Order: sequence, then C-alpha cells, then structure tokens
Amino acid sequence: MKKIFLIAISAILINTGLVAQAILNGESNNIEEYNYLCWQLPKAVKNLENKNLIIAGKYSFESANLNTNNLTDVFLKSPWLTNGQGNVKLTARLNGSGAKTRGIVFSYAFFDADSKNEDFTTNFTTFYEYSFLNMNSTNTALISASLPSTIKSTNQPYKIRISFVGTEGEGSIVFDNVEISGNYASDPSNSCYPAKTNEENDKEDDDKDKVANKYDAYPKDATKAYNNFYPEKENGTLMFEDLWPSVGDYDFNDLVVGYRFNTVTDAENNIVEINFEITPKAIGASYNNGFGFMLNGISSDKIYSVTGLKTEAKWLNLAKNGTESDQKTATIIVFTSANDILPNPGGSSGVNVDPKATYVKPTPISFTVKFKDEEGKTPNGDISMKEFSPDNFNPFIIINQERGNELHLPGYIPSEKANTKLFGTADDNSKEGNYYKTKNNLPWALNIPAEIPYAVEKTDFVKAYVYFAEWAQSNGENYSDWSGDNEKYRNYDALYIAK
Amino acid sequence: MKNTKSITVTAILIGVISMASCKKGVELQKPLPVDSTAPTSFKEIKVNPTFKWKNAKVISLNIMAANPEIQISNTLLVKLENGSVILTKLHKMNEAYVTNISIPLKANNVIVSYGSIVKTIAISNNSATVNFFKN
Repeated sequence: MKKIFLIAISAILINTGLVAQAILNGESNNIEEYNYLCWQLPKAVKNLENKNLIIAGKYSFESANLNTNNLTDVFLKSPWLTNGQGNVKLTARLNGSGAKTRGIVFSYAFFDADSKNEDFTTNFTTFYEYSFLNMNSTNTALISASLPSTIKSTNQPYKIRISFVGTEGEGSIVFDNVEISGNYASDPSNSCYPAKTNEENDKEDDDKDKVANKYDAYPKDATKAYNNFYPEKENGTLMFEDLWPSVGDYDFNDLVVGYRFNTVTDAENNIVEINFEITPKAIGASYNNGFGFMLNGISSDKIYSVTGLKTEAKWLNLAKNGTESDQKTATIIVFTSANDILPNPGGSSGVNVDPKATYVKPTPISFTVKFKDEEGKTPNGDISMKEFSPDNFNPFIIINQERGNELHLPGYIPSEKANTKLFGTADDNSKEGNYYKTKNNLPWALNIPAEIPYAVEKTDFVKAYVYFAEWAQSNGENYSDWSGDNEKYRNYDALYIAK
Repeated sequence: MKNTKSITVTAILIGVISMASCKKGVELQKPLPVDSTAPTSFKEIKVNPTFKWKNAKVISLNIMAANPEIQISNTLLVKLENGSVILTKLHKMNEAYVTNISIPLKANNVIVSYGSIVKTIAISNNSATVNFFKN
C-alpha cells in the first residue's frame, strides 16, 4: 500500500531510528516539486495518471519510450544520502508492445568536490541490473537490491541513479514507491549540494554563532547576527498637530520628526538591541513639545538599558534602565523640549516651516535600547523578533511640557502617564481601543514610512498632497502612493523643501 | 469643381491628422483625474469609521515546515520587489515560522530568499505563505 504522509510533498525521508530512507512516490504530480527536494527527474520521466497503469495511489511515474541501453538517457537520481545500510527498491511494470528487452539498472556515485561531472559526482558504478523476462506481462514486479558494501562502509555522501533501458518496440516502464536506504544529506537551500558538516560550517563562521559570515552583519560578535532596518532605506516621517484635543489648522507641521531604527537580532532571532535615529525636523507651533515612544507589547523590565539620551525635565523621571519610570510598557522619552533641540534662528515663528526663513539643519539623535547585557544575558527573558514589528513603535508628543497631555498616532494606545480626562473633550472622540481621532475619524498625527516633505506653515495638508484626501476617502484603496515624489502628486509650492 | 473637391478632401484629411496629433499631445499632458468633489481642506475629509490612516500594512508571513529529516539552517531574507530587506533571520527549514511584517501599502508580493531558493510570494488577504517545496 502506498505510504501517505501528512506533509504535502510526497518525495520524503523517513527515519524510524533503525531505518532511514528516501522515498519517492508520484503523489505530488509535479516533477518540479520533486526537484525542489533534490531528486533529479529529467524530462524523460513523467507523472502518470492513467488509472489502468497506476501501481498505487493516484499517480505513478512513467519513463519515456525506451529504445536504448544508455544509462544516462532515461533515469532518476536520488538526493545526496549518507550511512545507508539497507536496500534500493521500487515497484515497476511494463507498458506498451513489441519490446525486445526492458530493464532497470541501479548505480551509485559519491560526492567529489573536484569532479567535473554534473553535480560533483564521481563516475557512477552499476551495482544491480534487473531484466523483465516476459515482455507481454503487465504484472507489477518488486525490484530490490542491497546497497553495495562500498556505501555501507563509509559516511561519504552518495547518490543512487536508477536507469530505465530497453530496445525495440513502443513501450515504457511504469514505476512507483522508490525507496533508498540512507539519511537525507542534501541541502535544498544550497543548490542541492551535500549539507555541510559542522566543521565546514565553522570555517565560514568566524564567531561560531551558526550564521555564516556572508550573512552575519557582526561576523566577529557571537552575540549579534542581523540588522533589520525600518524603514529600510530612508527615514520615516512623523507629523503632528499639537492643539489636541482641539483640531488645528491641519498643516501637520507643529512637530515633524524623522525616524529610523535598526533591530539587531542574534542567531536565535532574539532582539539584542534597537538602534534609533530620531531627527526633529520642523516646529510649526508656539508650544514647546517633547517627543517619545512606547514599545507596545514590551514591558519596561525587559529593557536592559537605554544609552545615548540626555533627557531632562521637571516632569520626567527615569527608571534605572533609562526608560520612563512607572510605565508598564517600555516608554522612552527622546527629547523633552523641541525648542532646545531645534532652536529658532530668529526672524520668524517656528523652525523650518517658512521657506523664506533661515534653515536650521536638524541634528539626528542617536541612541540604543539594549535588551541584553554585554554577556548576552537578558534581565527578564528574551524578546523574540516575532514579538516586535514596526507596528509596535508607538510615537507620541508631550504637548507644551504637560506630561499628561500626550498625543499619539490615530488608534494607538496612550501611556500610563496620559491624562485620560482629556479623552472625549473638545474635538477628541477617543474611546477604549480607538484613541486620538475626532468624531469624524480624523487624526492629529500621521506616520509615513518614507522621507517626505511636509506642508509649509498654515498650509492645509490636502493642498500639499493632491491625492491624500482621495486616498483617505477611498479607505486606502486608491492612491496608496499618494506621497509619491512627482509633480502630479505633490504641490511643491505648498511643501517645505529642505535647502 | 473636381479640383475644389480634392482640395477640400485634402484639407479635411490634414485637419483630421493634425487633430489626432494634437489629441495625442493633449493626452500626454493630461493630469490624472481629480474628483471634483474632493475635499479642499483636511476638515472636509470624510472617511470610513474604521479607516486606520496607516501608510504601511502589516501582513502575516507564514513559512511552512519541511520534513523533519531536512535539518538545514540558513539565513532567510524577506524582501520587497525593489530590493528593500524587510526581515532577516536564521531559519531552520524543518520548523514552521509565523510572524508579522510591515510593508508598503502598494506592495503585492514579497520575495523570500533562503540560500539558493528564491520565491516570489503573492500577498493575499494580508498574508503570505511560503512553502519551499511547492510552486
């Protein structure tokens, strides 16, 4: 009876402890999928679904019409295997008429990195030949042969080639349930070459963290492996209206902040640290605002340290690890006074919102939120990469030095320091689970994961970005690229372009 | 009379050709259509009550496990079609992995590369499912 496995692919390996073998049956009905698993089934072998000829299950295999005894015309090759101790077997039957001879030949080859043969094999050596005796019989034969002792006595990777041969007539060989003794040793992620040994892997991995140097962003540091930047290529842009809970002039430039962060992970895919770069870019407000963010889903005690920030204010208390104290969710205050970070050059109100006024070059604030100490230990357990996505980044402003007066992106949760009495006052319609929106579902803040120019002072945002309103009113269906950098989408006269 | 007819026909032909040429030119210059009812100020925007104002979408990335016998570890890279890398992780081929990734609104595919295996995966219902051994 054909073996049926839960896995969707039917060319698999089983290892019961005593018996390890590669199995190939036809149930996938897609030759390409067998090839993904490192079986080699050239075009001369195809899936067969003729019910009268199937040996087992819904599909079997069929060779091409056989008119040669050449072993390399119609064949299949196994993946690389090691430590085989048992047999090679398959079931087969003839199909067609007029054949003079039909047969199946088993050969083996070892891996040879210096070989000029296809897929780095030594020359194949035949170890078993089977001949069909009655050319008119369509009975199914079980064909089986023990692996040669040269394979059994070594742990070198080997391949088995099964060739289908014959002369004269019009006919093929139908076969199924190929079983080859051995441990699967191919690497589908490395063009099906033999899986590297630990020794070979170590040669390409200086810090021995199991991440090969070519992929390791920190090849000499076993505590770190990968960088994950967001946004990947440029700063994102946060734009705030700071008259919350009342609506303002909707120029979305009361505070404009650039952001980018790099989540550094180790070989276990746990977060080691997140390196932030926050850039206050413009102030179009009379209020002096602060800026911070929560890491939603990450509790404060999971943070080992926050380094690189020099935040001070009467209203700010920091815990020993550098997060804001008395917050269950990790909360980091990046700057407390936008006016100190981006000072007014004089001559106009605001900073970098009036194209005629002096441009103040913003200075990025770089800092690191560490989740592990120098030895790679975590204070209260690891945070997996799975637990943090850019959506967990919850930035907010602290309006005019009033700690409780915090304003977040629409829909994002407030921190424990937020003055909840402000919810539902003036134009705000915040409700449990749906914060920082008006009754008409309008926001006070926008987050664009790209570096885009913002509106000049007192210019309504919809005048700056021609298709923004249409994007919003279509529920995000139309013009999802509304911020695109072209003159049909942007009204450059209404945008502040940094000089 | 015959000459007059010829001149008239020629004139019409020239006119039609030149109009067609002008039309082509006009179309090239034509701006994208703007809804005449489009709001002229932010306050006038009317949105669905469930609209989230997000400029990125979070999708579920599901990597299906291979057979347990295939004990391969390699670096998994998830990219956008413009080459931007969204996720990098060490991945064991015989383990399933599910995570959320944030991608641009307009992205319809992600490209998953795992050593020599490279697959373009269509995003459907905010989800992308990767089976290394299936088309």
